[in-house]
Amino acid sequence: MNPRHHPASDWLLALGAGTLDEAQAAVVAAHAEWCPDCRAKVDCAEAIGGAMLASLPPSAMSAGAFARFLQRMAAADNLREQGSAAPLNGFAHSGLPLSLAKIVPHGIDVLPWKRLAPGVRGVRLPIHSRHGIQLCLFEAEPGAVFDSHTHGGSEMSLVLRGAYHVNGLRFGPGDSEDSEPGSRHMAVADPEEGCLCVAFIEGANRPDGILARLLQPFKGL
Amino acid sequence: MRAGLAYPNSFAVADGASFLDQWWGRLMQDADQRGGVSELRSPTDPIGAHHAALLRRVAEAGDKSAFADLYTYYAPRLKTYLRRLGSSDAAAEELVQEVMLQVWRKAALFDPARAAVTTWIFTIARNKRIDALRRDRRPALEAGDPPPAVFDAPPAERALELAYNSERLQDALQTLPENQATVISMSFLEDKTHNMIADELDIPLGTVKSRLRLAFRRLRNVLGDFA
Repeated sequence: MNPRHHPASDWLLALGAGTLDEAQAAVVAAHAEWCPDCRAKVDCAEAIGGAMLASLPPSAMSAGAFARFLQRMAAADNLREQGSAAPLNGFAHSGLPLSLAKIVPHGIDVLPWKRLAPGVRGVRLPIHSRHGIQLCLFEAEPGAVFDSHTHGGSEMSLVLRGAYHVNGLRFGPGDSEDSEPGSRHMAVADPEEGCLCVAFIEGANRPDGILARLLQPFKGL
Repeated sequence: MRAGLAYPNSFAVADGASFLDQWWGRLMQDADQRGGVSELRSPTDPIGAHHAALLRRVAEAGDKSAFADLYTYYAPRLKTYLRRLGSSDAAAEELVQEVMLQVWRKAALFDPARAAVTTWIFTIARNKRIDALRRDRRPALEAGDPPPAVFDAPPAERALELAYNSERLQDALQTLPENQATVISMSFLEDKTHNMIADELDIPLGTVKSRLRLAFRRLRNVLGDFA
């Protein structure tokens, strides 16, 4: 089933542009792996990037650049590829979207999970964000209640397995929830399945809430 | 408003002209000197078709003279792209060489029904730049690290529109309202989050996002995507 809750198009534009922070790109790309409509928007963003590249004024390459290039080309000539590209989208053996599987290549069971609240655990993923944006997984048992957001800045969560409910809406696999800074709400994990989610958190500096507690022990690392 | 945008300062600002109008005007002037204006203006994208033909000769026959033509066109533009995104002159040139090497090696993988040559080369450069940023911050990257995810082909009926409308997109970029052109340009050519763009332009984050969405919808319409 295709996701019903999508990232706003400005996120998909920036994913195609290649200017999202690594943490943001992981979440938005994971959604796009699920969602053909959003992939189509990313394709459009790439076409815009192509048009922009063609429109840029040229900058002179240094003298001899092409000659040096030819030397490297000769050395690499036996590496030319034939045939068509194997598509990389789809899901890794771990059941995670590829954009996350490459960050946690050994699966999520080996990660140093921390208990955050009754029935809720979380872990910060090892990425090196350019802008100090955190990428976290959290998992809630069926029926667990969690304060899903602390909101110092932009955040987005994406359901990987199961579902959660908030304000009468159900967020299932592939659904993303884009939260504006300043909002805050409680979510309830699905009573049957619980949920596994990934989220990026920008400016996670509020002292309250689960995610702040999750992030606290990592400060200064 | 124009902080961080390098080009408008380098030539006269006409009243009411958008940033991209000026950018485009400069480009036309350059093209005129090369005798290429009529080609650039053609709605059928002859430059794109020409580049696709060159790339096919590279793929099928290892044609180095065809490749040299592509290098002459794209290397200096890729350098501008990477310099705008913050690479030093030397680092930008090194990345350009890596991108063009990949174009040479992977020419057989280019599918003209899926994307314009300029779009294909843009995505290679985008991914190379992201890889280089990660390499700089994570020197102990495992050798077996998977490549950045790419998505498989768009549905055929849309792919053709994406492949053949690069020229129309370039026209559409120049007619965006200035405030939309500014945020679109910053999104592609500056390594900033939307929050940082909002700070730099001194406007609310919501305004940055709504301008981006409006501009993106307008440009998608050019591609026949009315979603």
